[in-house]
Amino acid sequence: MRFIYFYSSVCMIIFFSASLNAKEALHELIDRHVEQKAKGLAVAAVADDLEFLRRASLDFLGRIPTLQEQKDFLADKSADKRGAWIDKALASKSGAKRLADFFHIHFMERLGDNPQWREYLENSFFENKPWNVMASEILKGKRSEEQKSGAGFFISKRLENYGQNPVDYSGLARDVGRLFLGKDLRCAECHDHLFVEEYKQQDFKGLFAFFENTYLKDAKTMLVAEKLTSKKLEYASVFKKEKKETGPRVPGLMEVSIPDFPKGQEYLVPPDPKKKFQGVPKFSPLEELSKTLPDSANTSFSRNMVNRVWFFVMGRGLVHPLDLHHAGNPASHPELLDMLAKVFEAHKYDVRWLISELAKSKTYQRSSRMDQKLPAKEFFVYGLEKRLSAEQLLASILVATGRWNKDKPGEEPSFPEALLQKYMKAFANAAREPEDEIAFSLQAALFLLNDSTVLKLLEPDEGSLVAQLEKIQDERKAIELAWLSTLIRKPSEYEVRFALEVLKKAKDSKYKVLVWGLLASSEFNLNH
Amino acid sequence: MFLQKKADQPAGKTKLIKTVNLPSQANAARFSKDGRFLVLGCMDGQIRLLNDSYEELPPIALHHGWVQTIDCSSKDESFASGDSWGGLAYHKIQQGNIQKVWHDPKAHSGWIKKIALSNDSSTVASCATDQMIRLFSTKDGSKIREWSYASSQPMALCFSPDDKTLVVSDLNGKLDEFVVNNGEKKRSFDASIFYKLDRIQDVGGVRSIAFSPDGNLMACGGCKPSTGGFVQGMTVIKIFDWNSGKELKTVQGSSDNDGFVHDLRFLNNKELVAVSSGQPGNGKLFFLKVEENQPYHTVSNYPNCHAVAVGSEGKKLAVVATNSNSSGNGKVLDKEKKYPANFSPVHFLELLS
Amino acid sequence: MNKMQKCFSKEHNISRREWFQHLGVVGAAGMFSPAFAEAIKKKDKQVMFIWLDGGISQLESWDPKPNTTFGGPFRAIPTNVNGIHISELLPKTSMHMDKMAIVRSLSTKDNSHSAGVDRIQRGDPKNRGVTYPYIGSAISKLMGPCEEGMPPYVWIKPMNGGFISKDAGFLGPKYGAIAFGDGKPPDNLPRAQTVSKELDDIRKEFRAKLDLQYRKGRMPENSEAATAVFDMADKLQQRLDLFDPANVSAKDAERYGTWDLGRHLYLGRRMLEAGVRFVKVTSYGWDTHGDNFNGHLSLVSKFDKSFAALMDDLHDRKMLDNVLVIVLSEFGRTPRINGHHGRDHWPEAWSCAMAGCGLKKGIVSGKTNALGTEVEGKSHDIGSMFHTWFSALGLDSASLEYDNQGQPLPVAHEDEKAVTEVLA
Repeated sequence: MRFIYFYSSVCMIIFFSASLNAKEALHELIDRHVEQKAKGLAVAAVADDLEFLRRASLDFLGRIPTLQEQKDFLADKSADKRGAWIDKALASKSGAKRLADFFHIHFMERLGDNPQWREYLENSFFENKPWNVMASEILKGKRSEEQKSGAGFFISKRLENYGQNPVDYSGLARDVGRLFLGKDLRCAECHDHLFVEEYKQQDFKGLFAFFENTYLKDAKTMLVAEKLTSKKLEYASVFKKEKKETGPRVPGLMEVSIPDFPKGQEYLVPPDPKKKFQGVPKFSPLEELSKTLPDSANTSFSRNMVNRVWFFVMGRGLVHPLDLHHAGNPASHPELLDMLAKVFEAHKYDVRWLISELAKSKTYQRSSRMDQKLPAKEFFVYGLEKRLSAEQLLASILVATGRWNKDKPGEEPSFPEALLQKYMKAFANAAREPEDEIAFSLQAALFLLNDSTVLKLLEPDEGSLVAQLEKIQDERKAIELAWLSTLIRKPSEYEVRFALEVLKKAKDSKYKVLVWGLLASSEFNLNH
Repeated sequence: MFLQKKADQPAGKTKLIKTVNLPSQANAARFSKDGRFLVLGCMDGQIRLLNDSYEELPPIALHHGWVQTIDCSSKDESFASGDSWGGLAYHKIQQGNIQKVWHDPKAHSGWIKKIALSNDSSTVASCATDQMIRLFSTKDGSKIREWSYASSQPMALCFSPDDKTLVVSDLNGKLDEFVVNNGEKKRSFDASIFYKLDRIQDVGGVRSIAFSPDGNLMACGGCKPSTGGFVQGMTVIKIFDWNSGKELKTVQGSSDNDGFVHDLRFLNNKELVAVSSGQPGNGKLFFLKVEENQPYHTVSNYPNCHAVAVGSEGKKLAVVATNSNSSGNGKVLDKEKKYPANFSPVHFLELLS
Repeated sequence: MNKMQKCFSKEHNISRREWFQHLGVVGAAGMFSPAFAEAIKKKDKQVMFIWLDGGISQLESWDPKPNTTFGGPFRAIPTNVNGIHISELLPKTSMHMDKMAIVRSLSTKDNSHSAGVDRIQRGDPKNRGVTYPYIGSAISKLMGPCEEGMPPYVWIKPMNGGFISKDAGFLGPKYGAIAFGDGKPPDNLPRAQTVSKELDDIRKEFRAKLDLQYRKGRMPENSEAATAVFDMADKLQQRLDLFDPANVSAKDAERYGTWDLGRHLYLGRRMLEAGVRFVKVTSYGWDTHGDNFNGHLSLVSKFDKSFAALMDDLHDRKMLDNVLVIVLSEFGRTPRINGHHGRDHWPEAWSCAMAGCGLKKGIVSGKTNALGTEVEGKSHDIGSMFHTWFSALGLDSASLEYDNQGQPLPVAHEDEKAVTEVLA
């Protein structure tokens, strides 16, 4: 008994000491938590400047750094150059675009694309819109023509039907549960979840009730509308058959009460059967959803986003998989997650601040390599490998081969549409398959091997990498330039030696072969 | 036999006299020489006859598979019938009784698609999926001649006005004229509009052939397929000048749902009547003047028509249609929770001039 | 971080299973137990899956009812197995009945194409809220590639090709199909014109070496997976001869037929010989709601010729011992003949034809009544066929499970059983 008391006291002291030190920045607090958990384990050293720069450029600008950017960063002797670099990147237009790209892939899961949606995301991230405001804007759907922003795409796209299949309302409810609350309630649609005690059928149905009366009015303009919701949703478990009902309800929160209007007074704008107009009801479940879900009363909301941001920065969620938060699947660092969720709320759901603090931590900046045997990933004691999106890979290959023309300072060039489509075909997942895991496909390999546009990048035209290499007399110097341009580091002596052999074997095509190999390597095609 | 309510008729060319519901779907119908009997070939293997009081005689059950095709003699009250197992038979109607003259169950080793009696009633010609063209004596069923039709699947045939040649039409979009006496090919007529290769399916075919009474015109019918599988296609009738062999016109319908012109007959030297069957529920009876490019009168309320017979000197028609609601996925049950077969209503129409 | 949970739900008939949290990256799904993975690794068994899309009519093929109300115009013919008759439209196939096993008692739930095709090819398992893999992806996962290193799941089809990840369901895109559109190789398979064989070898070797370097000090899985993919690309590239029409003899072209199904069954056979684990060949256009009889006359005759040529070749090469051949559609066709002389969709009572690995020879299992309107006796849903195919391939389908991120999932509908009558 006394032992238990002793230990819990010690834990309490540790916990309080970890959280009460008000002078500690969040990133320091994060490191404390991680280091405490990792006690006794070997940890990787902090990454050197180039390893950091590559990782951070990919994460926060969506591409590898140019040679000039590498030089500038190495030459920078200021005290907190990494922190300053992070802040500058996150505040830039390119930073906003990169976040928008990631968010689009993460939340739309390649279901489709829309320029207004993209614009909405880029603007929101550029002005650092708080996450609860964004979530509200997205969940309310675009229900009037006057609404200008493209936030409605998340809902409108999911209300389209495909071929002979009806509209997938269950899919929409499920996606909202997963992406905004971190709970995959799919297995709770027909009965209480069989493995996860906390996921009840009433949770799924409550979420479903927000959407059952929505419908798509116009896919092009993302316009959605709602039929009258005047009664609760009836349901029964396939096992128990007892009839139940629920109004719209965010899991974990109170049910939204459905107002009981006298007949004839339910509508703001009454329906007109002649014009096939369904009317605009006074009670809007989507409106209620947009108000109740992104609220501090809903702890799942902040925990989910914090976990996803953690995944974005670190490469693995504290809760893994990302949409399976429940008692039986605890976070790798439960107190850390609790704390992050609380400070995120306290900082008014400031995404940029959260990302910057995560990025400034030692945890983020550790090298991905260790001399010793690597501990399990969830200890976060070394930099984790991360998948690169088609967009990141295209931008990076253009930078690496010297075809990244920065003609507009402060802005990143855009890709030719045809080239982007090719990259998407080779590297993007099909719709509804989250790009959370690393999966190098056969089509990606064939694409890199034989696609004419990829091989064209290796041509020695003016300013290209291969052209530059061919001008260099000393092969060793050329090899170093090739490595720096593609892998953002210098080659080891061993690597120089086998590179020299390759140059010898490949003769006239030596630099094409050399650069191709570097661009096709796992080191180029992953973030680490 | 069931009595059906009169279908609504548009004002004009035809007037419905009577509808008789057969207990089975029917493929073919022809009036006997004096128009006193309508002879029908049915999917249940029976030949059925309806007399001029619209009563059914006892059916003839000697066939197997489907009775696919019927042709009546123009010289007397006899007729030939062919089935989908290759059986061929000849019958005489005497004092309201049908007598079998002969029956050859193995006349072909495949599905007889069409038979045709020569104008002088001496010969019955048949074509089948065994890709053989055969000629038999109507007297005793002995085989007169045969030749192979290896180029395609034969679909229909018809004797020329002078009985000297036989026109055979096929699946792949042509008609061939053969000399009756030796099977030599004389002429070919292009009908490629009637055929399409859709994926691996050969779709379409020239389904019906008829000659004008004066022998100057040959008309043929089918569809212009747009897809195989459930088969979509516009109705097509092609008319040729028989003597020169030149194509005079192609008359095409407007909707892909209209399907095949399964049967066509000349009412006189200037007018044709034809029936079509397309998507389930879709059937047309239409009248075409040979100088015109579109039918001048169409009746669209008989679903899925497969045969049209002309009797009483062109004053009476019989149209073999199908019941409505004939299609449906899965096990569609009727009110008594049974799974019945479809059937053919036969509509007797008076032609108003 | 380990947490064990047990499911006691009798309704799902799952025996007590432990649900593990996985440490580290597992991938989208892995085998539930490593021991199982080793035990079931049968390298030499393969599948030829012939999909007749749209619904072949069982009445015009495997289960004719000549001279009955709904029987249609055609006859039945005897086969080289005493007592077994099939449609007269399959004369060549009738000479292979002594190698075949036909199930005539299929009765399934879905009469629509878009949902039906999916449900049949995914085995219509109990709803677990996950998308089950198509049979090709399932075999690709459960049995892996053959030792030749060719892609395990290949789909030969008309029109477009590509990488079809949706087949894989929850298994993840890695287990999708590589589709050869019109029998052509995938995009970028042939070595680029501007790269000689010599340079190709040099650059691939260099890339592989870089990856070895990359692995130092890191977890090797991702780089190993990438190298494995490049190896598979290599293997496939070495077999470009498979795609070259010049390599098809005039005799074989004639035997199989020059239509797409013929050409593709021939290519399918060659793919099996090259070591592809699961070959799917699809023929489209079987949905004969109109003109069903002329339609099937054309379609089935072509199938008959191509299929018989395939069976001849598989038999001659003794491949029927280890290749499971399956001929299937998403449903059969209605006995009732509609006004357009077509037959409509009919999942109520239809057939699946098979031959080869693990099956009895020359047998029919199950029957329909005289009119073909109902299964007589025990009927089987598609889950039973999945059990049957898995069993024929030596997999214990009743106890085998997938592991979907900790969620154990039976490989086939757990209420169904294999049709033991056809199993050897």
